[in-house]
Amino acid sequence: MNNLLVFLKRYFHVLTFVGLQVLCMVLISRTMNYPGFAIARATKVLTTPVNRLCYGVVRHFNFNKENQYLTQQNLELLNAQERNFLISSDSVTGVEGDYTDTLGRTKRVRLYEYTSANVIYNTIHKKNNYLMIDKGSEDGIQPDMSVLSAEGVVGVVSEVSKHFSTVISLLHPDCQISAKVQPANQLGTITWRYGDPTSVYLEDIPEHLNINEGDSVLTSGYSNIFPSGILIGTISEKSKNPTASFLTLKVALATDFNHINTVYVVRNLYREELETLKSNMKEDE
Amino acid sequence: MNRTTENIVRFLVMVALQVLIFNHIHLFGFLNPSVYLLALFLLPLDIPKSAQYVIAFGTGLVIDIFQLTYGIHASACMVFILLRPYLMLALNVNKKKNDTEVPVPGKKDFRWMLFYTLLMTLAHQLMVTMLEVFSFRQFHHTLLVITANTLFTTLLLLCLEYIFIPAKKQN
Repeated sequence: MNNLLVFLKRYFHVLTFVGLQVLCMVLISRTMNYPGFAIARATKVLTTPVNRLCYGVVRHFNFNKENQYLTQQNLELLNAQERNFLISSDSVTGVEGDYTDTLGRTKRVRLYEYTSANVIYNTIHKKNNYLMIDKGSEDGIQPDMSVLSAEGVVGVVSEVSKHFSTVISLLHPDCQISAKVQPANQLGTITWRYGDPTSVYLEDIPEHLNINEGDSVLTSGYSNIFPSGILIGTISEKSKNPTASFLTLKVALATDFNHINTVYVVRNLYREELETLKSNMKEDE
Repeated sequence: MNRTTENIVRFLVMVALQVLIFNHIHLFGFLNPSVYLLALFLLPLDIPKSAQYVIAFGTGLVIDIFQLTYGIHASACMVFILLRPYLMLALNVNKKKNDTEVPVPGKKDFRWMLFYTLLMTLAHQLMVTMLEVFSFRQFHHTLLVITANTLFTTLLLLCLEYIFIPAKKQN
């Protein structure tokens, strides 16, 4: 204790000097911005790679949260798409009448509604492939709703429990969906053949049409399940059917079924009405 | 007039001179002499060092407040006080240790005074300018500012000392 006092007495001026200098530096740094910028600029060579390395590791811990935000944002954007509405905001077709509101704007009638879900089970190499998603009837999922991924079509909901649903993926022989090939704009049917989880076949395309490899295959929107214009895949191979004058086109799937995680379930809000109409039509025949 | 009052009055006069007159001198745009250093030059050496530092800090801070450069002059003034005894020892021709007499014109010859004032002012000016510029870009310009300011301040300080202090010759 005594030694400490002696030491303090002896070097008190040094302590004063250092203390007051520190105070000066604090004052300088608090009141003047330039030194800080100058130091930051000079040390950028060192700090940038280190920060980048550090952030490259740390950001992996936040991916879960970020994914949620992105999914949420995607949902909002998907829901706002023009093709989800029965009557789009076209100023020519709906100027007056029932389809305009009091301000004269076209009323928009929503046809399709998106919700997000996570895949919890997925097969691709079996003969009949299914997915399971973590949303069920409590979340408004019903059978025959379509399931999309960010890349393209995934499948159709088949069975629904309270909290989960099974989805018949495109890689299932029963999953035949109506599609059209662009730019030829020809309707066809998508079928899958056991074996290859990266491609499906588009059938019933007339031979005379000018169809090239790389053409897009989109959903037609006639099934009341899928909204129109969703990408299924691109044409990768063209082969002629020897018995009929129809082409069989091999379509490379847009969705990578091997790495499928977040999906969007699409609900057609007028499906029952449309189905009733369709069944009436059949009874008439 | 005892020594304490004398120092306080000198301090007040020098700070007033600096703030009221010399802060407004911007010769060629960058010459801005720091004549308040005279108060620190003539600060007695035999008072406690910590007290000297506190006085230097206060002096610098007052100048800073008026120049809006909070901390720069205070820091430079403390470095000035830190260097003072060592420089005096190094320049002491008699090699007399623990020389606590403040060097004034009557006690040292002109060349000694010139050299001493020049070096002390240079140290102070270097500190102030480098802290203010805080960059080695356009270093030739910074160097010019430091040199010119040092020379001008030294000139003013020597003038003031030789005009007002010769009376002490008789002591």
